[in-house]
Amino acid sequence: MLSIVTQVVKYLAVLLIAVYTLRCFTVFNVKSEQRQRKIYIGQNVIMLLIHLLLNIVIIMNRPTVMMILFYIAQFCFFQVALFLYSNLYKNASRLLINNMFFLLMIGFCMLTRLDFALAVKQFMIAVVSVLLSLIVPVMIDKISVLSRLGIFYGVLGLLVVGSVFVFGESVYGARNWISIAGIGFQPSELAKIIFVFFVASMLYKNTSFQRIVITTAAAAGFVCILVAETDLGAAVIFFITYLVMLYVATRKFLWTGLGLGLGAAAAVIASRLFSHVQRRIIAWRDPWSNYDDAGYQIAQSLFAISTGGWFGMGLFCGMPEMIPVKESDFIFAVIAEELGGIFAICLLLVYVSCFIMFINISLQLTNNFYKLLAVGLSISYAFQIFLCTGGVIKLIPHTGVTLPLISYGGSSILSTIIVFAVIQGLYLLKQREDGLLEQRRQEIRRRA
Amino acid sequence: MNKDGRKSGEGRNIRRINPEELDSFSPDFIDEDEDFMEFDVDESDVERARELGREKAERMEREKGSAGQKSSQNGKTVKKMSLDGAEEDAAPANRKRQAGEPAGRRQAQQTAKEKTARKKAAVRKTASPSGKAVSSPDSGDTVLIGLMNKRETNKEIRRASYVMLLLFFAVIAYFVYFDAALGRGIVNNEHNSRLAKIAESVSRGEILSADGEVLASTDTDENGNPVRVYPYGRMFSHVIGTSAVNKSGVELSEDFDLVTSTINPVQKVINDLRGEKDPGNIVTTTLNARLQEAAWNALGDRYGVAIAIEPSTGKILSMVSLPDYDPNELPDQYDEILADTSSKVLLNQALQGQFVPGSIFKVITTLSYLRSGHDPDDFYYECDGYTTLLDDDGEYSTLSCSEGEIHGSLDLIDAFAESCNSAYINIGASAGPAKLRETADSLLFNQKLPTDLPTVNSIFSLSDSDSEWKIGATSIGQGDTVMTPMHAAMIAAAIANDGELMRPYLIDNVTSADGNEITQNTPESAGTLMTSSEAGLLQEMMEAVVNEGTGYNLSGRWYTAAGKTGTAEVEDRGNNAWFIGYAPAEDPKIAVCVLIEDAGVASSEAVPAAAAMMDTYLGSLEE
Repeated sequence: MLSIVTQVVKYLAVLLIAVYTLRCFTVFNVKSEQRQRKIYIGQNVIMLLIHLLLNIVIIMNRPTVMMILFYIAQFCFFQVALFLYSNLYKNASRLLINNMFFLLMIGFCMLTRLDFALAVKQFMIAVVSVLLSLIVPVMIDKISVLSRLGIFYGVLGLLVVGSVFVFGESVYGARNWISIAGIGFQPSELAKIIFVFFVASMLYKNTSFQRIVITTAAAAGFVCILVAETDLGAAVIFFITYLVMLYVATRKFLWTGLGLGLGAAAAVIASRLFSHVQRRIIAWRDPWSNYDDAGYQIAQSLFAISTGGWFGMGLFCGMPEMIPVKESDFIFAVIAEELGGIFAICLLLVYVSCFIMFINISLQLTNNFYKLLAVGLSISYAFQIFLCTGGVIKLIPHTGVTLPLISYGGSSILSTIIVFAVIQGLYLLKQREDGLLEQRRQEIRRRA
Repeated sequence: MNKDGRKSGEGRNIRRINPEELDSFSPDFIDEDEDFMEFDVDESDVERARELGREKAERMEREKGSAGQKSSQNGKTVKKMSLDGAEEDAAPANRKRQAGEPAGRRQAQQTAKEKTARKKAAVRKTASPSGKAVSSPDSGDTVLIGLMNKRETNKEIRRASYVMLLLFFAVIAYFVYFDAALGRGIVNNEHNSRLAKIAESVSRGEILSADGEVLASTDTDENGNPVRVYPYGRMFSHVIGTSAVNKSGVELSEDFDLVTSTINPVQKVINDLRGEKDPGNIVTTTLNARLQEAAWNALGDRYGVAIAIEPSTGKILSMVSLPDYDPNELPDQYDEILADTSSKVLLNQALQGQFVPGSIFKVITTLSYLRSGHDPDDFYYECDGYTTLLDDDGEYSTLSCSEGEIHGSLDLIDAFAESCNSAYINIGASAGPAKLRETADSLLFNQKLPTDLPTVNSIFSLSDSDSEWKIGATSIGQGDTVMTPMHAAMIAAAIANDGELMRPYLIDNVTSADGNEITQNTPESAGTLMTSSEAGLLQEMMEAVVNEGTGYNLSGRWYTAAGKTGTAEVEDRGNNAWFIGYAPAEDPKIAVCVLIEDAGVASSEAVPAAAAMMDTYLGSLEE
């Protein structure tokens, strides 16, 4: 009975997520706001259905009262959060809200399947983060001083990334964690947002050579600290984010090209100098002949994905416990193994849909600070997903970054929810601009 | 963005830009890429605004008439655009900063930027009369400048996001490629412990021969546990392999399919309710059971290899490697076998044994002779039974013909048919080491063979600085050259197929237990190893080997065979007796490679085994 349910749920989940993903893109073709709203509500129904289906399998496999309570708690959380977000912020992007909660949902399900205790922890953090994030859009919308805090952001950001040298703990060979009240925290996740604010406020109206030099020096400081913490994934994300922001701000490819060249040279040198970089490159080039050592993790990931095939093995039918760091960096492989390749690709497309919404707002805004802010956050978000998923499927060397909103990790969840909230704030800002515009036009009409 | 608001705030003498004037605007105007526009705010903006003001006044005059019809279209675009009024928040900040900037630098920048502004204004002016830029009487500079500013960086943002999207799609494309193509190879990796888990709910599927014989199936023992049964025992041991211990052969390469059940889902539900396992998929090989039996019997109790391939398709018809084991007994003997580190029992020598090729290498020497531009008809050699050459130590050493025979005067075909070493040392020397190496590489030495089977590489090395003796030895297949029997069989098959090598494969199809096709393999070309005229000459020579040369044991049958013998000397033990060939000569149905280790001469040991295989297979085709 259990196996039939698992198999049926597996196919239904693929079908539902395919519809959900399709809706993420077709909604742009719908002009009428009413019909758009219908689509969004439809997406909510699909989300909750997938959540329910996956939880049925989970509860059948682990039939405890706690599991049922946990499902109910999640269900209520999603209902309340969706209600709050869409009513407090009528002008926020509904698609982004849906996607954010959908990804969180998948994350909870996978973590419950892997480790109930972790899932509960993750859930608590998400609840707190979502509550906190409710004020972020207002802050973005109302606080006008945000663009003027350049140096402050820079100092704060450097302090945050540097904090691991004082309080740091080493996990998986990277010294990039601190522990606050027993909860592991990765400062680079939060510093990423501060860093984007920093660069945006430094470069949004002044791109003189002097400015660029100062900002680049500070950015280099960030990247160097991260390299020193052996948090390579974050270092690469900061680096790429900075180059893209610099390119958009200066509108010259020269600097960015130069930066890319230097970055490539630095990567080559790093791969010669540092053994942990070497190991990752070896594992990437040939995991099989280094199976017992460096290649083990990536080999397990590839086994998981290849065994899962298009439709997956079904929840609890795979062996995700074989993959090291399955609950954070490699959770994408677990999803591909148990829910299938199609499901995993749909998830990627949902991320793409978020990215498009991020970029969309930066294209529409007129204020350069907010424009740059949106670009920076979009790129750091998107590049992290690229690094994570590309590493898991061995397209690129694995760099050890989390999959936003799905991977286990308090700081990752918190920072991604904040990023989404900031973008929502920008949507509010934009709506206000449009509102004013409309108002003015009507005044003009009246006059005429 | 806020340039105008700020500038006017500073009391510059440009017209105050009034957001209220914003109404409509033509998007065409802004769609031009305005590379010369400055991002930074300074004097140029003042200049620019002034220019635009002037220009606009002119335009307004001109276009008053056409305003009405434009307004409806403009209404749409405006909605997306923005308003300078909204920028007021940030404006004070900018003002402060701007004021704090050193005045000198600003002045220095000014000159250059004014130029830009003028250039831009010029462009604007030329653009307007073309009718591209149209604005209604209500529009103001605000709109123009606000929108231009907004659009300024959008080009860069777009570019950056296209690159990012490209990266995303690279991941997705690779993922699809991985699941569709790469995954199959990885899923069957011996380290993948997941298949064992799947196998718990599936009864491992059958493996069949092409002629319908069951080569492996799953039974249950008295305790109800599944047992893998191999009805033919030792005969298929290496090629089919085992699944319980030492997973290898087809059992390894098709592991995933064998433990996957693709039967009708309704039946699965029924099985699930009954508590029965689903039957795994059925793998049908290209092997011919009768031919395999004949080959296995022909090798007898000697160590060796016998492979047969269908030249026109690449189907592997048989593959025997000795020593072998009984797969039914292997679980009990496994530890004992592993304990003997010198044992070759678990090694499939057909794919992974490397052997000195001896005279079968003369095929390659002949090809390199042709490829170095020699006319085969011009070849003439007088064999004295031996050749003396300078060896590695700078001393003269002798290489002699097999059994010390003196072949007398020979043309190329005779030299090949008689396998005259002296003549071939001469042929190799005329081709030269570079050409020999080039030819060997083009015939798949020193590289992974084009097949999914787990082969090791054949090795050929010869450098220009090697001694005469070494070059001579290499030309007759001694020297440092080693070959896998599979490779030799592939060369024979390519010659039989007029030069084109078909990719060897072992799995014909996979079906579900209830008979639905899941995969069907089809023949694939692995490229042309030699031109058809080269193949034609080799075919002629190989027929001569059987008709009048060392392969005489294959002559006088109801079919005509062709081939090449090889008797390779191995240090400290008997020869490697080789035969590669094919039959029928006029329309090859089977290409074979026989290797017998620790043997006498090829003609009396390897050739009869090949004959037995050809007799059986061609006989079965005629039934």
